[in-house]
Amino acid sequence: MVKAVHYFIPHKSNNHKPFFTRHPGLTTILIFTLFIQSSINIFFSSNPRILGFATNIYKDEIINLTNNERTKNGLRTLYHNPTLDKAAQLKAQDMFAKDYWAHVSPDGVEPWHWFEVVGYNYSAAGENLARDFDTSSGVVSAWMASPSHRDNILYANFTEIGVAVVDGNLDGEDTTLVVQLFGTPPPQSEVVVEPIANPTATPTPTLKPTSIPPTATPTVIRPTTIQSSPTVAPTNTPTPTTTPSPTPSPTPVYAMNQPTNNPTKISTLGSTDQNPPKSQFFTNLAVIENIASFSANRIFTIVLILALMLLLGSESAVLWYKGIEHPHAQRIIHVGILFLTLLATLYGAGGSIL
Amino acid sequence: MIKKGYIKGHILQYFFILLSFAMVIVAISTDIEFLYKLLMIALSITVYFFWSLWHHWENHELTPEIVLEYLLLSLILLWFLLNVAS
Repeated sequence: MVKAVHYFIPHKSNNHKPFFTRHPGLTTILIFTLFIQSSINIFFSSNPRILGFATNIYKDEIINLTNNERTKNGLRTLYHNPTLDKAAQLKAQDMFAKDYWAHVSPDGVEPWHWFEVVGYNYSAAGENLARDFDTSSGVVSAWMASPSHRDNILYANFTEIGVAVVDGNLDGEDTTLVVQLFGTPPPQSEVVVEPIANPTATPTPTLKPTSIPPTATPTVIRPTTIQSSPTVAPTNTPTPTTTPSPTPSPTPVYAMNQPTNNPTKISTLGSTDQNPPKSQFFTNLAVIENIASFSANRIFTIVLILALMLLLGSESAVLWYKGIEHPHAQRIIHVGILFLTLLATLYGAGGSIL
Repeated sequence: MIKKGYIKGHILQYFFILLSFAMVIVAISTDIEFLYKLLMIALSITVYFFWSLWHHWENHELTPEIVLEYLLLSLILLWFLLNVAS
């Protein structure tokens, strides 16, 4: 007990200057910090199968976490559609190829273009983007913290999801892009057109997108060569009809991290949840590893900042309470700066979303 | 030594130091280039270090031990801020 006082609390025994606020103690703290954090980094980077390239972000986890959020809000889970995965993959590749970070490419290609490229018909669609995150949970948490992205995730009418996690170099920095696409296939009755033997009328696509502008202004960066993409398939089967009457067209709803309608919460959960083909064991393991890597670095920093704040704060408080004047006790400002750093460590998003 | 009215007399300085650190921390949490983040952190830590020494010099209490302590505390802060920036 006496030793603890000596090390941590201003007292007569330590001339009102605890060991850990003196230079030997501070040196110990600094060396300890460097050693622990270096060990954490070496441990995780020496196991590339855990961390992979740059991040711990997995498509399956993004989908599961998204569905968890929907479930929490009483919404149906989304069906994982590999076609949407392909569209998301093409979008991410396009961003890397043309070096831009926006919903709309520098040459004006909108997100919905990629739906059409892969032949995905839809009556509603949405897109969320993220970059520079370390973990899947970090990505989904950031989206949930942003009202517009959250509205996409919790949009009741979406029924399908596709995700791409792609590593590459953007703006000269190695990063991981996450593209999350949502879709709602059009009702079956609206896309089935009866074939006619002798078509005379010119086919007219019934789906005419009326897009809602994105909230974020697209950032136009150096346009380069256009990403080669698969053959464009028509969104609607342009089967000619003899009476091209203006049928009530299903107006597609577009949502680039923007609410399209107020999400309607439904009370019953759907049964369309299809987990990705990854084994449950591996998925769970990945989640644990994500938590571990997140915890190791960030929690250690948070604990250390708190400990230092307590140490310096208590020193100042005790000296002030006892009315003792001490030349080393003017460190209350350090506590303030540590507090600001703590807030940044706690709330730092670690990446950006669009 | 902390004299009566000393903190009150320097409250504006404390305010500006904290405000500038708050601005730096917000800036390094954003999506700017890492080099700029490094420069901002290094500059703010250096300013803080010399400002602290000046404070003690002003009070005629500056000793090698105090310089060493502030150097170590500044290095610890630097490490934390680098963590935030990365």
